[in-house]
Amino acid sequence: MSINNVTINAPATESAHGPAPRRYVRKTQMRIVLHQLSKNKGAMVGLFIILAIVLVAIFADVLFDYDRDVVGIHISQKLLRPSWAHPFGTDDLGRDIFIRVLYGSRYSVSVGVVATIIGLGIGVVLGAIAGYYCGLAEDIIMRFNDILSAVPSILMGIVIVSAMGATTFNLMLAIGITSVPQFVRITRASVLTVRNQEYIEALHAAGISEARIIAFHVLPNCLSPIIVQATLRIASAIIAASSLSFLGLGVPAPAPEWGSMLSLGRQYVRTASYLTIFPGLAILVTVLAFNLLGDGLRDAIDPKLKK
Amino acid sequence: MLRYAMKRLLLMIPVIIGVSFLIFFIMDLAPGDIVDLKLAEEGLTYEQTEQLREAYGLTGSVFTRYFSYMLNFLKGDLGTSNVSGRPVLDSFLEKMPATIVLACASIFVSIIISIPLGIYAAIKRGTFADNASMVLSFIGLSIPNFWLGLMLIIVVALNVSWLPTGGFTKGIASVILPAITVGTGLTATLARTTRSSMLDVLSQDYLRTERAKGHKEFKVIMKYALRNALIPIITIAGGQFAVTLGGAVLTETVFSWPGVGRLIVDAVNSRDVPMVVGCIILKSITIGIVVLIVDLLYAVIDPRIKAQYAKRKRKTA
Repeated sequence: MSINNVTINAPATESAHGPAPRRYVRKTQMRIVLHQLSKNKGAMVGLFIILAIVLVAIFADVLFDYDRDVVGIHISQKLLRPSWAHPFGTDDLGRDIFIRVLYGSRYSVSVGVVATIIGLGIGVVLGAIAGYYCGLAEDIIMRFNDILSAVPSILMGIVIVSAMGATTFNLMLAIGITSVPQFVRITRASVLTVRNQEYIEALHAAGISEARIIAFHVLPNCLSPIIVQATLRIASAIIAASSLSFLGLGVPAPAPEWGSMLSLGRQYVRTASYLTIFPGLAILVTVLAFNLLGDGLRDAIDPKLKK
Repeated sequence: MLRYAMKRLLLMIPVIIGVSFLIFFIMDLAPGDIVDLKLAEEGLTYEQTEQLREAYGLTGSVFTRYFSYMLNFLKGDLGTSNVSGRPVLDSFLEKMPATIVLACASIFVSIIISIPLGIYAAIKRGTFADNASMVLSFIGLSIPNFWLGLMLIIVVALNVSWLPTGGFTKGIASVILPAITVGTGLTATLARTTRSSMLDVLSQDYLRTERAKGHKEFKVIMKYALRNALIPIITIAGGQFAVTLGGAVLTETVFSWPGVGRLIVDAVNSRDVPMVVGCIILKSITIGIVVLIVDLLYAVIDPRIKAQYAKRKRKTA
């Protein structure tokens, strides 16, 4: 019982036997959004970059030998400037920065995506409950949300990771938890607009359980702003992950996470600035790509916001 | 308006209680405490560690310790640092001026760049200048600020030696690079908000009337359009200012800035629970108050909102 399906007339085509009968093409909201998105150059550039990064992340193990190329120590080649052999130079242990940056996409993107999924999962459930049931449940959830939002997310991330230990999963969890309030707010706002519609009343009358109504009939109609927020949130999660790694609270060494590479490069900022330039550029390009895609999605979903 | 402000301040109390418990509880999850760190460093006996635990108030359940902490908090005592032995409030107040200077400087940098840029982009909508400024703001949004800080250090401080690489010892020269670092992200967000808000206002009929009256375009934009576009701009600027007051941790680390952010990071690393909880409570209060001030500023800018406050007052009277 989705309200998102619309029917749009397809243009009639001429044939040798006169005008062809008019075909009615059922265009779903999804198709319309994808069509709008495909016309947005920025979003397409973002999507292309993201696909490239994801491919590199997936095939990193095929392209490089982790023990030899990524974490292997080659002291004879330490701190070499960028050259054809090492396009981004080498670090203090002789490891190729180019390979580490490419391999690092695996950590940064996976932390960004998984952290967003954690935040999304918790935030959407709480937001849906708060928006659908209102009353006491809403009060409790929204007050808890206020508490989580009152602490700056980077500080909350630092406290959680330092308390639970600096591991990749804890990093994902910490960043996921700090993104919960945004998802709660957005989901609640969307659910509030849907919950009083007539089709929900009809479902109640049909005796469908409330959990089923929320999961299969309310949430699917609230997805648009949540998807946009999730895409933009991946970008902030990548920055948050690299920030915490930069402070020594993220993915443990010797894994080539971009933030921890920057932290190492900071020690050589006077003598080997290329150690800081390239991992930072990798973060910038990745975050920019997600931001472009998220912005394009927002424009496609709600053209009124295109300003 | 005073009534509204009091109500908002009262609503902050449960949030502060919740924040303090949450941070206290999370810090309690950490596998070690300050005594374990001392044990590893100094090799204490069992009796000594027990005495130290007693002295630091680390005995009893997390709820007992939290209750005792909050009792002291209500008396205005935020505890003493387990590491330096100094009162938490003193350490916080000592570091806060540097954080405030950085927040003010970064918001200043951000406003002087973003508002003209946003206005220009809105006036020249759809032109190359508009697209270029929005692309720039997108890049500004995507730059990790700690990396930008490092790049500024390499280019401006190390290569041409125009400005110091860090610290807060050389007056205004020390503030420039950290302020640009924090301000870049804010600039990008504010420029986009200004453009969007100006676009809303520029299509209004009353601006056409002002032009028809013969006012110069500059006056129409600055006096009539900008003032009406200010509410979203101030909301974002105020929110960002509050965030900077609360969390310029990375910039403070990159530039060795003696602010509260670094104080908290150091406290977290040394498991200094009273310092972490105390500083985060004070930060949350600061942020809450800044956000409240921003809300109250709306009434100063927009007479309609002021009239609403006055109407409510009349109703209650």
